[in-house]
Amino acid sequence: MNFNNTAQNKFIKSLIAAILFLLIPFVYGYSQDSTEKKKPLLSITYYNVNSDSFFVKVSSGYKDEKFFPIEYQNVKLYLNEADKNNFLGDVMTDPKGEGIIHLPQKFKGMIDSLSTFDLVAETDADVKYKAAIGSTTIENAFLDVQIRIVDTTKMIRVYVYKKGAKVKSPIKGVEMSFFVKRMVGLFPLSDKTISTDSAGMAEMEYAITDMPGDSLGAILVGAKIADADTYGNIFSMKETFWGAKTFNNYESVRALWAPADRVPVWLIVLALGIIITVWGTILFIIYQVYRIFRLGQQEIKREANL
Amino acid sequence: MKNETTAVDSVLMNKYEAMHDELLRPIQKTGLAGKIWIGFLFCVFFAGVFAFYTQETKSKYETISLNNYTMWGIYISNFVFFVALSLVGALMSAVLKLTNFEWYRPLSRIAEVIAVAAIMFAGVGIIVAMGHPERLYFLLTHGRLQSPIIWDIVVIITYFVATSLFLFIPLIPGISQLSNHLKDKPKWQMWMYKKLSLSWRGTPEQWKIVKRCITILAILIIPLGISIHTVTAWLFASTLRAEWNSTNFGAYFIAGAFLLGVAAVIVGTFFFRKYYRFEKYLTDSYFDKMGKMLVFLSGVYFYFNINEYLVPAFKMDSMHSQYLLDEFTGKDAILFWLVFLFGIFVPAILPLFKSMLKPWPLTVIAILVVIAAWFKRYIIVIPGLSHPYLPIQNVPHSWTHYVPSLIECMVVAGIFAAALLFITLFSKFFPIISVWEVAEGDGVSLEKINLLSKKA
Amino acid sequence: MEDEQKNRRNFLKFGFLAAGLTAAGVALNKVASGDEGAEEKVKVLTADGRLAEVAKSKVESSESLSAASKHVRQGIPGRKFIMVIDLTRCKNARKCLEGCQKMHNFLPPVEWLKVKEMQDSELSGKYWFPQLCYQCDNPPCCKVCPVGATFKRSDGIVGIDNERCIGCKFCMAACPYSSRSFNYGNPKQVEYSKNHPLKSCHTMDPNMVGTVSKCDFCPDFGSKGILPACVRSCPNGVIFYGDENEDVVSNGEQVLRLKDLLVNNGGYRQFEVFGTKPRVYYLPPVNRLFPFKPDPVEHNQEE
Repeated sequence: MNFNNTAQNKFIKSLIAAILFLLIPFVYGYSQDSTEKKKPLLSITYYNVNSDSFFVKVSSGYKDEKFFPIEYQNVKLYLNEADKNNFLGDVMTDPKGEGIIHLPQKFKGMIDSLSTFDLVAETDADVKYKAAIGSTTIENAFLDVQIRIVDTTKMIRVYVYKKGAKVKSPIKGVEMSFFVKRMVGLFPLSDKTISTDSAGMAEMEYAITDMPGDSLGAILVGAKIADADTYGNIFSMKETFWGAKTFNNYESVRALWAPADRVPVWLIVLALGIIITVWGTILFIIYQVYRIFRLGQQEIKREANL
Repeated sequence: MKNETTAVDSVLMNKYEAMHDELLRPIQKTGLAGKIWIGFLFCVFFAGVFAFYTQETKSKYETISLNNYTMWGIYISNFVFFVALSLVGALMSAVLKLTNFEWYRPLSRIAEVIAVAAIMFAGVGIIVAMGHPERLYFLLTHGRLQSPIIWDIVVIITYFVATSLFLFIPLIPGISQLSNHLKDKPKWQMWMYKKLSLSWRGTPEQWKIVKRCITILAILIIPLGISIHTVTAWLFASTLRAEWNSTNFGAYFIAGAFLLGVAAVIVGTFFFRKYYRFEKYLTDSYFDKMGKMLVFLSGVYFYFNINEYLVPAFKMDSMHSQYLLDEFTGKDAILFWLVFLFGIFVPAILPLFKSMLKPWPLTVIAILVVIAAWFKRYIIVIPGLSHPYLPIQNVPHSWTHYVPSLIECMVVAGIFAAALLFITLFSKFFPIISVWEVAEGDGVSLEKINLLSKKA
Repeated sequence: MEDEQKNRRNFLKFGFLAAGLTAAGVALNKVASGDEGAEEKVKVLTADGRLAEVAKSKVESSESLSAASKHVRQGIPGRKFIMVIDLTRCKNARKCLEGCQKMHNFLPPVEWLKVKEMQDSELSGKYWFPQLCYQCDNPPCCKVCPVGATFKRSDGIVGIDNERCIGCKFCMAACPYSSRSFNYGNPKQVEYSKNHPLKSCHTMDPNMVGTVSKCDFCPDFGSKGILPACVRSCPNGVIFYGDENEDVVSNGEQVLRLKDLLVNNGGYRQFEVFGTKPRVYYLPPVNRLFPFKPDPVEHNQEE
């Protein structure tokens, strides 16, 4: 009886499962049809490093209550307008919906004379997303970092100028932050930002005494514009000898964890001592075995002569 | 007076002549049981070879059941078992010889051949455990002197050479006898005897050399045997894992190996005695002596076990407690206590009764000891690995425990079969008892011994 | 002297800043060139169900960041890589290990980076504990390796030469942290490795069956200012990565002085008692950002 019950239950369960399974394509298909194509939102972040290398981070995603990144989407970037002649580069977005486009060298020449320019990002339509276009306007600025020592105080000073203007025109009221460049990022000298004055100047004391530099104490210090919406991310750096001199000469040591050619001397002596003693004895024995053979041969000869 | 000694001598001589003839019997002829046994061993061996081939050609993910936590399985524990077994050569021939226990004489060759077979297949046992066996030669070309594995390889090779010499040199006089006495044997076999006998004529200088070599080797083999197993113990003790992190490990392994060795010789002696009908030479008294030795060595092993388990158990620090409790009362407890029972208590207590010192009961005890010794190595190697310092989490269920796969078991069985095959075939080509050593022990002069081999 | 000058030249290159500033994903792109039509295309199924046809170079990293095998034993000059894991911030998101698996072409259940639920004593609280290879300065694994297949580099990293490894697994037995994985040749993994060639940051070839592999601290990315995948993938900034010689570590958002971080927050290393001298420090799980929530599921159950 019990057996029957369970068998019945099993049958009903599998029946329900089968029906549900069959319904899946309909449900899925229906929802597929009903969804409208999403329109991607494109955002553009501009980077200028020492007026020497330029790159742009684009990111793509859509908003549906929450923000969802779109991966594997080809984003094209143009200067000022979406036109073949103004093409700057393209990128396939990563799982975070982001991609970096390093701008070609010609870009430097193109923007040198402009006081403002637009960066335009564009994606084509596909099965899930509509075509989209996004743009951002950059006020073209440039930084001039100077380092100086007043009495014993180390100072980093930066001037911010407008670009593309006929006369030198400083920008007032830009928030600047100061940093030391390190391998993994920019170490901020302070949490606060400093606003440029009417001469476009901002200044901060370099108060760190023990930031490791190289063997000469060289480190890169610099300033960046924190007001990225208007000007983009502009960095400028200078080499100073304000760091602590550090000598990172790696010396390979003899140790138990070292490579085969760095065996500790005591171990070599010990091992060789044992190996030579033991194998010396073994070789002696083997020689004795050979002597047995030779003595036998002599004896056979002697017997033959008798 | 002079006549009397000649009379005693001639009685002895008759005895050795008879013994000598009887020893040739298993070499001269192999019975049906012997053929079946050899055939069976070949089958198991080839099954092992096939299993190893399968393991190497198919994905190890499917053929062996190791994982990132239990990365060493029965290949390694079996390797340790074989290394332990090989120590018997050092114990039975060298230690007993140097300490003037004369009764070692008829047993020494059985012990030596077991030792050579064990050390040979211990080496094979470690190759099958490697991820890339074809890179074995890297040990020579890129070897790091700092690694205990290199020490182990060096000691294994050295011990193998030394034990082989220790087996071979006392055999030289015997081989020359074989080439004079065997009949109807294939040409190659006779040729082999001729070559191996090294033109042995039994001259006084030759005898002198043989005896000196045996003494030197007997002395050399003791430290070698101790090092081989100590270094094998260091493969474990040199890691930071709690269950192996013990200064007691080398001595503990050696004590276990001596016990296993005596048990193995008891088993070997029993079967050679029974199937080659050597009751006259391998008498009950040898079992009596070996039984007493078993008691003594069980006691020693018990002592080291107490050190190994009781001391950390007394402290119960959190590094040790997780695996100790599992072994004492947890999931490994049944195996742990069975191994204790059959591996230590049974051989320590039962042979105290006189009736247990007879060949049959003692052999049963010895077989139990051998089996327990195999599982003892399993317990040392494996359960500890599933108790790492950082907890095992978010892994497939099979990663939390280890049960050897069929392929692994077949390979291990194949290695066992190969070792037994080596021992069996050896006894089919060479006398398993060294006649001249036994005769010498009875005080027969070398000239008389020489006569034995010359008589056609 | 010549070396020093060379180092200084490298040091003065500003260009790497780009990579360091932004979380560069897999798609590190070259400067656009006009003739892309000829390039080989592959089809990828995206997470949201599109079948995108993209140039092969766009899917995998197009820039070769290192010629791995050549300098694998050398180490990057002047660097001493280090990691600080802030246990106050971990909430078991497991994104670090997913990022790691993706970066190094690994399928579960293999994890080079694990997140474990820990509790030091009954009355103290539970916490999440991300754990990877600690790149010890007194590495037990390197001590026992018979052939020098695992080695300590000048930049502090414990590397593996998979061409050398004989697969004895002694290093795995020796590691008290169980940080190492053995490639048993999981057929799914073998198939996956065939279709997904290694990305360029590897110091080792973890796809080689029958050898050992583990976390390598992604030094070739790190030295170029690109944070390792685990650091970039972590949503809570748990893992800080940097160069001990420079005394600065970063989790991608914050850039902090290493010494200050360790001294002021009670930094410690796991199982200091072993004397292995790990290069990974932990900040104790005090004043946590997230309350401890037990994980309802056990991950990685599939073999």
